[in-house]
Amino acid sequence: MGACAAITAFAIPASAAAQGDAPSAPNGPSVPDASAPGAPPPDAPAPAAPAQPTLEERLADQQRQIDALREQAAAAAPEATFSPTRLLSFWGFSDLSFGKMIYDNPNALYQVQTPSSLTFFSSGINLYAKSEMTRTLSALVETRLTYTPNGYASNWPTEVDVGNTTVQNLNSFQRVDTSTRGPYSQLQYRQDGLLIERAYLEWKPADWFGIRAGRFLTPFGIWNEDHGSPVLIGVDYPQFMNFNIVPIWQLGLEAFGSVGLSDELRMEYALTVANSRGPTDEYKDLTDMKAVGARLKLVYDAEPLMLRIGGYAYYSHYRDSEDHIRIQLDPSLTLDPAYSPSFGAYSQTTQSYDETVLTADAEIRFHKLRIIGEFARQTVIYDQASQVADDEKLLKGVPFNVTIYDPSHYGLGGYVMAAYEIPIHTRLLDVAVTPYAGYDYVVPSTTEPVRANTQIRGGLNLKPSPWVTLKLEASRLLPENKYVASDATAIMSQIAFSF
Amino acid sequence: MALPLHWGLVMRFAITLVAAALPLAGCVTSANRCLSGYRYAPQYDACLQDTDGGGEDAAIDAAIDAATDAAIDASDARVEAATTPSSDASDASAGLGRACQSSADCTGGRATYCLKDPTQSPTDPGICSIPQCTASECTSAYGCCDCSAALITGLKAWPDGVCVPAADVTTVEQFGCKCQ
Repeated sequence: MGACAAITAFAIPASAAAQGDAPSAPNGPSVPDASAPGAPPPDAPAPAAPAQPTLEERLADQQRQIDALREQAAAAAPEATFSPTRLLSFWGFSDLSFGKMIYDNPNALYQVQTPSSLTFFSSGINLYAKSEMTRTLSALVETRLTYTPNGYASNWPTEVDVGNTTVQNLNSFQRVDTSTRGPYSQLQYRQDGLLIERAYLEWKPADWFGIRAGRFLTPFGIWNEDHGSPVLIGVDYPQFMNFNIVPIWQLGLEAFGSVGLSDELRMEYALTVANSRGPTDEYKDLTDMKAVGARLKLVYDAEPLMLRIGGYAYYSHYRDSEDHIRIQLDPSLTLDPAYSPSFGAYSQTTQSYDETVLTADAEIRFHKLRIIGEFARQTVIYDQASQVADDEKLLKGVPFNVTIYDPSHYGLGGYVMAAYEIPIHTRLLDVAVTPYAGYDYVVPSTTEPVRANTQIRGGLNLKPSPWVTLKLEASRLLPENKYVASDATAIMSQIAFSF
Repeated sequence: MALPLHWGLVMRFAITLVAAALPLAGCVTSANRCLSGYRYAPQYDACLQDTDGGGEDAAIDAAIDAATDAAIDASDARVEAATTPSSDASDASAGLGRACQSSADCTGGRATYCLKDPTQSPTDPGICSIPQCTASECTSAYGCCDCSAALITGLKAWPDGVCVPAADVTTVEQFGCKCQ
């Protein structure tokens, strides 16, 4: 992750010297030659044959050599710090935001899951641990400590009225409560969550070829792999990433590499094979079909101009299912041998579709100007009818009692953003100020236009230190269907830091 | 690392990759928009189940239209019908169809339950109806409806089997009542 390139890492020397694979110190003290100091000149007449050294003399001689070697090893130890082997590097980032969303209509639907009150909030803490076992073999684990699921609400009481009369009450309010108490002190606290962002073993024998096995970030676009809040220009991801049009993570294999085509031009690629998307894809697939993807990116870098253009294609077969156990009894109420098996199981598919995703991304940097854009399109082709939920049905204008099924559809989204970095160097200040502006558009599903929205945003990004980013952003959210979700204005500020 | 790759080779690789990706760019067509056994309803941008391969399209459309109308005008239509039954619907001997404020107003016959539109104010008038009815008791001007499995709580509160004005039968059926 590029965001992490400048982040300090501390290295445990890994006792490489003790393993004997550290380079030897080039100017270390030489092993003293016992014969050198008092040796007779070579042209001196041959003296009488000397007496053989005694056992004690030979032991003392060997001890001197051992001491000298120890001194040499001690002198060489600091050099081992720069060995390519680092058994553990550890770093991370976090952020704190402050702001609120102000809806033009105070009863807008979307306020149930957005910060409609002025609030501090944090996306959590990302922690990285990396081990470079050899020059070609390494492992990386990235975890996010989150404050959720405590407080997560996904079910709201819904009142159905005709005129002034309530004809139906649906659901009841449910909020996840992870409160617990310590075993002795009885201190009440809330348990928080953990998200595994990445966990893989990487073997990279050459720049043009490497392979990862484990959970990796889908190699698409610009922000997914460079996802740390300190490197994001805005306060949050582009809108379309929050709707999972493209899978953010995958579990499987990723081959990748980079090939220089000329001094200025480089081609990067990635090929992915992973679990298809599903409710448990991060550790278990519910279908035999594996998801496959291919990434291609061209980078032209000739100061002060840098261009990069890329795309990612992805295919997956989504499946959700329920496992059932079936017991067949005979009239005597024992297992019926006529069935094989009489005590068995079967799987019932509850949702199934083929999906393809195509993404494109481009970035232009010229001097301090940066223009970036991404686009993604998802195609969902059902192979099993998918019933539309009651609330979505009503939002589509379909009567409550009519059963409808979601047609095959598209999801799409994209954004463009421009930013200009202004370095400020004075006696008191040494900062980079980056004003930015952007336009987002997302249609999570073309059959649910009520969820489509546009966002216009602008802000200021200030870097007083390579480790700290301050952001102030104002955005205007313009939902497609005003009768459900009113326009809204968001004012957000953020401090993001890496360590 | 700069490998001695020829530009042509690179372009061929890129074109091959793009060509391989194109078939993945699935498209939604009229052939795959809805599964076999379902038909596309453009007014809702949704698929509806075809119970007999399309022969019931008109019936489904009618049901949807009726339900839509009901969702929009339900309260007015039902109250009007409920409070001003046709002369045929009024069975004086049983008291069926007589205006009432509560069941206490429904005496002297089989129609002992004051049936009110659940979408209207409780103070609005209703009509006397026959609880635990049979179809013959309800006469042709009414349907005998069981709303115990209705979607709306207010309909569930009606007695199991109650005479409902014929003009309202389709509407209450849309909300899960079974009428005969």
